[in-house]
Amino acid sequence: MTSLILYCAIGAGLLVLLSLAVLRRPSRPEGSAEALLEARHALRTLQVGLLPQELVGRFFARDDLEYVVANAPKATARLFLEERKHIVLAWIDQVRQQIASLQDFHFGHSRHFVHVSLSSEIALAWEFATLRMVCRALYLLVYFRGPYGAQQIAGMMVAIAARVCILSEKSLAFLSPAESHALADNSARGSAPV
Amino acid sequence: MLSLVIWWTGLFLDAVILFRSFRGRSFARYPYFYTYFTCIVLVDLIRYFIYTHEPSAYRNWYWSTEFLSVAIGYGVILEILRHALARYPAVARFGSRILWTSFFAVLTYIACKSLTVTNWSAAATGAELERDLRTVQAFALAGILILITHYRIEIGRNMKGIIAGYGLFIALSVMNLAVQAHAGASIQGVLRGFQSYSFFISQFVWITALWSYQPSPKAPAAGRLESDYESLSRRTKEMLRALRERIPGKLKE
Repeated sequence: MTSLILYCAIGAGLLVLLSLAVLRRPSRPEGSAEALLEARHALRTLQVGLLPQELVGRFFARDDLEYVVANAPKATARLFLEERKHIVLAWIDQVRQQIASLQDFHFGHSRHFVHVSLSSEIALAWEFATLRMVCRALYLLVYFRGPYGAQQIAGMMVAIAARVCILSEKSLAFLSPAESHALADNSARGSAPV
Repeated sequence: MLSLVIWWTGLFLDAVILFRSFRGRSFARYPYFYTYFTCIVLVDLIRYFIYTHEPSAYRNWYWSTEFLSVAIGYGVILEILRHALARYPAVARFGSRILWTSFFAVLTYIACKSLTVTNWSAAATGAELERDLRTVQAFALAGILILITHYRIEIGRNMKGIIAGYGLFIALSVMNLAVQAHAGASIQGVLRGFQSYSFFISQFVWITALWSYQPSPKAPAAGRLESDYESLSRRTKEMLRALRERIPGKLKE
């Protein structure tokens, strides 16, 4: 009976994959400057705007809450918590969007390159999938438990996002066309390498 | 009676598909798929001849020809690889790895099975063996579908049809053969009919999708930044215009 269920599950899984492959939305044209710029912008937004330690630390620091609770009426503390929750949710949403943009760029471009290794692609796909899952979990936790209910997961998300940023930075350098300065001649006069 | 009607209609559909492939010159474009398809038509005709003239031999013939159709079914997967992934070298490399791995898995499985099974009879172990071989094909096809979905590869109407038709047939076959192997010989005859019905569905998909030749859309090559200069410049102009509207008097033309 177990084998029957297993084989039926394999068949059903193939049907699901088929419908995903045939009915999915068409991809946008790849290899465009716009895509490259978007990816660079996403990477920069993540590294400079969304993931710095101080910023993330501030979101989840309890000092502000303790100060408000100690010095303001309860209604103000409630309002503070509500506002902080909205800010954290907006932050998670932004991280998620930028990560999706990086993912789109990477997998849209890497398919054209011969020297992409299967293991690195699987590793990167795994990192992206984990990150998106953690983002979703964090969003739900913050939504239901408030901004101070998931500090550990937030730390985990930041760590994975930082790893993904490093990998994406490398792939942006690898997947984008050679910069013009790569052709700069540093050799002495009359001894240019051919 | 219903089986015979399905059989005749299926043969008619086969003929229409082959006729359209010659008329639309798609036979030469998808040679592996149409070779598979021609073999299936021939196998069907031989089966029909044996079924009507020598019904006692039909069962053994059925399983031997069924294994042949499993083997040549790899041609369809090869065709999918050739057409859907050819323009993407990295993905094509991953896809061919999947195909070869599954092909060697099948060979190893058959070798192991023939060594371990002492009382070898195609008819007795047929459903189980075909179920396992189709499952390996299902894994190979699933791997390629994951690549197509993950890398968002554009596929044309013809290729979509080939993938959908063959995928449907494989998925339904795996489930049907699992039930056959589980239920034993008692209802195998009835369930074998379902196998024909699932192929009948695939024929409808193929006849619709392969009516005329439509190649897969081409994706622009990576790394041509200059070609997008105009669109970038247009976008920047639009952004500047929007900025001017927001801050009147601050930014001059």
